[in-house]
Amino acid sequence: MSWPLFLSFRQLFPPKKFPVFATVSILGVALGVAALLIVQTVMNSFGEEHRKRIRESVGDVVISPDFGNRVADTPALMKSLAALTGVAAVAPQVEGPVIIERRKDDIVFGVMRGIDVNREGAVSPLPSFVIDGKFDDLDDDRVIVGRTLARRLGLYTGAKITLQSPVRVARSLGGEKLDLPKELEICGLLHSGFNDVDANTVIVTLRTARSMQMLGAKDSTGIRLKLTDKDAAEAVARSCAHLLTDEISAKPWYLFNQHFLQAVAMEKQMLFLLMFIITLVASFSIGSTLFSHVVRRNREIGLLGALGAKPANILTLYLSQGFLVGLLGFALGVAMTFLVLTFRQEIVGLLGANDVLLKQYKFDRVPLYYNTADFVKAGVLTLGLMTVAALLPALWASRRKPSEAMRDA
Amino acid sequence: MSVVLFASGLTKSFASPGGKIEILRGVNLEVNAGECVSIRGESGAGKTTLLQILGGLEKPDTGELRWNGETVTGKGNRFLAERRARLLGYVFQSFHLVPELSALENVTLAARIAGRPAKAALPEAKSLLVRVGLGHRLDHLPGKLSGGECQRVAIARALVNRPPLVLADEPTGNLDENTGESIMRLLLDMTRERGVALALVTHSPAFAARADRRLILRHGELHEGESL
Repeated sequence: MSWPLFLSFRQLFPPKKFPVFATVSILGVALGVAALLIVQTVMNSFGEEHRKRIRESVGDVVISPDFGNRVADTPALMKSLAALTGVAAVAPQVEGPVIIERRKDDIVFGVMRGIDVNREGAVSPLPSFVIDGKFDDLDDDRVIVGRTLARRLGLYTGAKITLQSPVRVARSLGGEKLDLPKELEICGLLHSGFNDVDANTVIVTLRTARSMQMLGAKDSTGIRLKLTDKDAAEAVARSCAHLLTDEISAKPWYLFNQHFLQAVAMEKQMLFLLMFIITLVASFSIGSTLFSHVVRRNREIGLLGALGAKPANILTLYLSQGFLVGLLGFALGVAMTFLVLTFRQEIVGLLGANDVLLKQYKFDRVPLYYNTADFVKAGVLTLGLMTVAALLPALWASRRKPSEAMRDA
Repeated sequence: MSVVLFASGLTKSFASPGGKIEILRGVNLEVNAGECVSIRGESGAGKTTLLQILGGLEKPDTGELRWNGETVTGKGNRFLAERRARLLGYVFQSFHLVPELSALENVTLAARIAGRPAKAALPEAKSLLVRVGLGHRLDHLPGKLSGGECQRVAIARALVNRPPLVLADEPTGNLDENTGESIMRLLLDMTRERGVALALVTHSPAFAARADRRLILRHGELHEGESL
């Protein structure tokens, strides 16, 4: 270790003495870094979780009608789509509004999704979200109900509900004679963790859904594609075009809820700006503390000059103190970030913000995705700011004449 | 005998509200290798300024200064710092030890500044501290040492790079009579043992009398002699 670095470390952490200056400065930086990283990670996690849920929910690419309500001859189109490069799996779906009746006059509106039981697992993790029952038990007489919806209606596995679609109601009102709505037994609850889904959705077989939506045996309301490379969604969506009619289009997953995703990204950027300003203010404060720390060492600066230290050595000595404070503050800030985020759920509970999380962000748990780029950005920012904060005092010290420094001491 | 310090026609003046004050008016001095030269003068005569100019810490207005035969006047800070580390040792009145470093680290610091690796300088630093009687206090911080012990560390530090010249500015000024006597004896003995030249600024006629040559700084000029 070069002597300026050695002395820098010793001046920050003097032996047998509590390092007040270093402790206060490092803590200041650490708090700034922790605030920055926690906010960035939480925002990043929210965005990432939303993206994941959207992909899980809609598939990597969705084929759906722009006009009308059906994709005709779904099996033939699925076969062509499955042959496209980059497509790993395809599955049809029939989606639409539904009236859920627990008892007479005890009804709620929800979203019905009809799926192909044999294909669904290949395009979405839905089968793994089923609790209190089995996905494989789903057939034309059974239904899977979102967990939050079930709780709201007092439903449980084994209970029975009646589903009615507005399409059928409209047809009945038009005088068409239709079968009475079928009673379905709940064979499991859906717990995706995404409150919008868990609070509104019922899952039925494709056949049941078609019957509810009054669709033909080969019709669907969409086809979902699972890709071998999730980042190729846009390219695959484009390559589907020649297989589709004018009324049907292929959309990559990120076009769904894109305004919400943009809002989350914007929120993250604004919070970064806010946190950056806080860190900037902290660095000014540390710069001023470092200046008084350097001024108090006037005599030593003179001594080092008398012993033959070059101005560049003195500059390195005090610049490295700012860098060290930044480095250690950043390391501590990262540790604090990990600690806080490990107990994020408990902290949200203590703040009484679980309801906000559920209602605003639709999550029942705080998601967590670490983004290396956020940490690298915070590290570079902190080390840069702290080094710049140390630049002025370091320049002042390096330009002191040894004779003056020793005389003024 | 080689000249380790050569000064010719050194002048220095400072501006003051009352006009320019001439501190040095053409100082000439030669110090040979291994020679001890004492410089006395009244308070404010400019002894410390002269020593700072001789050590390259202050620049003269005019005149020439050479260390070991090499002209150093007019050279840049980097050059001066590099030569100072290698050719000069300093002993100050106020010891000027780095408070966060132990006695041993204070001594090795001077070697490291001169570009020697700490490990290479360690044996010599230890042996110097043993020689000044601090073999048992190597790891003590300056705050735990007495004034006399601090000055012993400073003497070891001044000699660790084996410079041809040591400049001492009132090295006993902050010490009591007995401690001052032992420090002065140590400084003179150690520089003589090692053949190091010593330029000693002191108020004490008794200490000055032990030098090979005694000089008086009076009215900005150096004169041979003993009485102010």
